[in-house]
Amino acid sequence: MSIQFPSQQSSDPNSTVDRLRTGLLSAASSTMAILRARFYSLRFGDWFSILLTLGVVAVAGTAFVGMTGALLAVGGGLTLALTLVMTNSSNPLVTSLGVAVSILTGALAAAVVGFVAYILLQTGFSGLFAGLGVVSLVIASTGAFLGPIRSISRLAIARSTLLLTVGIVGVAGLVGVLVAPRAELRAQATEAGVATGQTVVSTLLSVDPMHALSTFFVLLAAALFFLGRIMVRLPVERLLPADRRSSAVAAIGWVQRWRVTLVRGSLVVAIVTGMALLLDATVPPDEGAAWLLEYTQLLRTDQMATVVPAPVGGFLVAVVSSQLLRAGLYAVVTGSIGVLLAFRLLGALRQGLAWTLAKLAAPLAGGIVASIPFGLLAGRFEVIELATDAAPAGTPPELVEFLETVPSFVAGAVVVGALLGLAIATLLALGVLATVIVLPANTGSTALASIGLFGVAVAAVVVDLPLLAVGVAAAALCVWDVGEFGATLRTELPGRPPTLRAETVHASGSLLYCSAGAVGAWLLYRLAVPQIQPPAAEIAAFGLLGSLGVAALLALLVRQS
Amino acid sequence: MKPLSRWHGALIGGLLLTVLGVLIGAEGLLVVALVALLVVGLARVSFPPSDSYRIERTLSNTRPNPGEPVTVTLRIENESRRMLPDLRLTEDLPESLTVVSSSSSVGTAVPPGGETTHSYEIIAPRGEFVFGDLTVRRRNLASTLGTADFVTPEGTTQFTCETLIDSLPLRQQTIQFVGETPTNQGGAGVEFFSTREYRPGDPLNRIDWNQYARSGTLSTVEYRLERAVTVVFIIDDRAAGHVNAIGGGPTSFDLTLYAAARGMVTSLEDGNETGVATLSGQWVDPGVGERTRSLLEEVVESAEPVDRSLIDSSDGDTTDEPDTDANDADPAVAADGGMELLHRLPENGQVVICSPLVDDEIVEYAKQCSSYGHAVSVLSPDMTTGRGVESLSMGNRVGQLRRQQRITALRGRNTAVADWNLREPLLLELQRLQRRWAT
Repeated sequence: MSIQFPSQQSSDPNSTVDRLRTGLLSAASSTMAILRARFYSLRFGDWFSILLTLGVVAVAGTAFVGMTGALLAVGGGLTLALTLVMTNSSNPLVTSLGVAVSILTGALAAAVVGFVAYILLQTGFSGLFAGLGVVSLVIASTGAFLGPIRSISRLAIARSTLLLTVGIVGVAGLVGVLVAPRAELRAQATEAGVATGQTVVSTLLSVDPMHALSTFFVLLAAALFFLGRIMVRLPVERLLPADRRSSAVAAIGWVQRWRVTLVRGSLVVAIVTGMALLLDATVPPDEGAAWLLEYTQLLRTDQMATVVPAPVGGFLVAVVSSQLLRAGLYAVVTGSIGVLLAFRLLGALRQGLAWTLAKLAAPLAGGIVASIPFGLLAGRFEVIELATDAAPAGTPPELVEFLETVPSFVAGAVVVGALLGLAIATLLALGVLATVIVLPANTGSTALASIGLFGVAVAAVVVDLPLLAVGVAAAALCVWDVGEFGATLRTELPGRPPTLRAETVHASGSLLYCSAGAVGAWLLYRLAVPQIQPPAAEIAAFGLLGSLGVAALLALLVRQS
Repeated sequence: MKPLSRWHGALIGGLLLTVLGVLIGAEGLLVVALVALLVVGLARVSFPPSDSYRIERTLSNTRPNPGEPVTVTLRIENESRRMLPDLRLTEDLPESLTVVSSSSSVGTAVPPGGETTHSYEIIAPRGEFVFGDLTVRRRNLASTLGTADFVTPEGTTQFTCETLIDSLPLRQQTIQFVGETPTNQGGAGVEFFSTREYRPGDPLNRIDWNQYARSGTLSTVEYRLERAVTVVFIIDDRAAGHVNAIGGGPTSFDLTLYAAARGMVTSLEDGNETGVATLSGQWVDPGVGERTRSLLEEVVESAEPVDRSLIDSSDGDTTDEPDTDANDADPAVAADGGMELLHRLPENGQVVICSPLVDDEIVEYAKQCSSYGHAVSVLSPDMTTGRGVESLSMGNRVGQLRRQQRITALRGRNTAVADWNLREPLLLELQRLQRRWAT
């Protein structure tokens, strides 16, 4: 009988495989346990909201953009939800699997964006709303699939974004390792990298009148957001004498409240002007949309100066179009991100170097491991040819040439990096939505599902499907009603008390009055609305009063919250 | 009745779409806005919830034993002619009570003139408990109006948890007095034990005449001899030897005292000479009768966990190593490793050690008792099962394993251990133990 020493055991490849297998089985079983716990924690109201949302997404999506579009939306929602949940897991193996799943999210996001662009270019004005409808379907599906988690925090979104960024670093590392040994490829990669960097910088600093207004407010919101995060981290009040602390805290609180309002305001302006400028850029100036384009073109910075009174207009255009200011805002954003990362790294190191390395290694490994099958598939399915054909006009030729030259495996890894980037963009869009809408803490998923469905209803109206719109709007309200009711039950009656009877009665009531609301609205729409043809002055007055009413309601809501 | 802000988003969305629809002349947007506004309007006009209801609380047992589950039933009756669509009840339970089945909260709906019930189980430590007010939150069908009441339900408002009597089987080490403890010896008694060959002088009423009719040989029936025993219950009252229950409920000390009390009273009623000792130094000489009973009761009632015990190594140890616990300890407790107590135990006396077995010290002491020739039994409430929790933590599992090792070690030295799983009545474990001994 021979004795096996630990050093011999560790060098045995079988033992490494066994350990890896054990680790994977452990990760799988813990994930299953968590999933089981999450599913068992769902109550009747949760199931009702989830199934109703998915059912409506399937039906409305099929009627709206066909089976493919509906499947695309549901798939996008599912992978986005999975990415968010898995990358926020405390288990490093699950985290790395989450990074791999996010590649699918990126691929589906690319497909959805392509689909929306196709509709937009095909159908013009209504195409924009049809596109928004597809995006709303994705949002609703995401809300439904996040039902077991319930809350959608911006912190979780930020954590997922950070992990995917680390995953991109892993993919870049893999590409570097494969390219570096070959001098010719190395030189070509350097050229492609420099050219891509230049293109990215020039795009970021671009003040093209087509997008300058919208992108400026996006940048402003980002800078204010990150500055606020740093303010939260810095213990300013501790540096002051005790007698001045309360006033300092009050001042910081005041600044933070205004900063949050400014961030939301900037994002709303950016979204509205962005959509208008998108319409202006894509919708052909036919008779139907000509009246609209008259207004949307005024948001171009070259037109704006002619409309806005002289000193203000000139100043506004100068600010929005200033490359120097943009560079400053970028510096603030990148500097703030750097400081926040340093804070995070210090916090992580306090938990131990091994813990930090494990946390960092997980997304790196996830990115690298996911690149391998994608890299192999890239060669077989000629993904590189497809990617280079579909590349936007501004893509640097050095990058295209590099992708065509390198082995297909490396090019596949580059595509994986790009897909991870798209997944990050999707998460950022979700973060923007969560910031603008202020999703409730305990009913975030329900709110997201309901808002998504309401967006589908609005889009359905614009593409001339009013009956579908009525049904989807009623379903959106029902989803919110039942889901929010379940959340208050969970808050007021913690644990797992029996609540089925109360939830069933409420869901029945909700179905009843949402149906009644839908029928009433349809009848009013068919019978009363055609009779009303107010003159232009009355429309303007109504618009003004209505806007004031909405503003007053918003103010009331903000005050109450 | 407080209005609840659940529909602000829908209201704002509806108004915004109306304004947008009118401004850009898109009639279609109005229909979506109308859905939102009508639903908000309908929800707004929903009737407020009725306040005519009655709640009654009943308990399955108002004098339970420690660890014994008690079923609390709430009966809710709607006395109005309108439905109560959303009623959320939360019991204000005393902290030391643990809910082991279902939940002390419920969300329900009650039809007009109808009623519904909700039951849950609790376990309690020793003591008297008073239920607090019931928090009742009511909402209307659309959940747009809500209110909270603090209601004192009719029916039971308090209960007491105390120790009661049960039987404790004792081992075959008896004294030469007739008692009620069955032995593995044949003789005079009531329960059939065996038959043997007739010996001259055997009483005629014990001859097995049926056997004689069948085989023609005389045999004598023997009954299970019932003898009295001397039993000393040693109660482990060391603070270090006890733990809180996982997930709440009676502590191990409460349950140990409960088990000891049941055993002592039963032993007395069986005619055994019964005494008690605690590891903090209390002692009652084995005896029978009312005086002994009252002395035993005094010990049980006054028992509290102590920091210092007789089985600690010696007084001298603490002088070398100043220790806060030791300084606070009772100076009357003469720690000598339990030697004095061992010498005090009567010859032929059985020892029943009552302890949750959460440390090795008590196991060593049980072995020591055994090596002095006493028949030792251990009566141990299992505090590692965790009645109020769904799954045990890693630490709890380790504790469970270590306790199991202690039990195995004791059984390996022919010490009977009654391992009382709290999910079952104490009596069941005692009966199992008795069956093991009988074989």
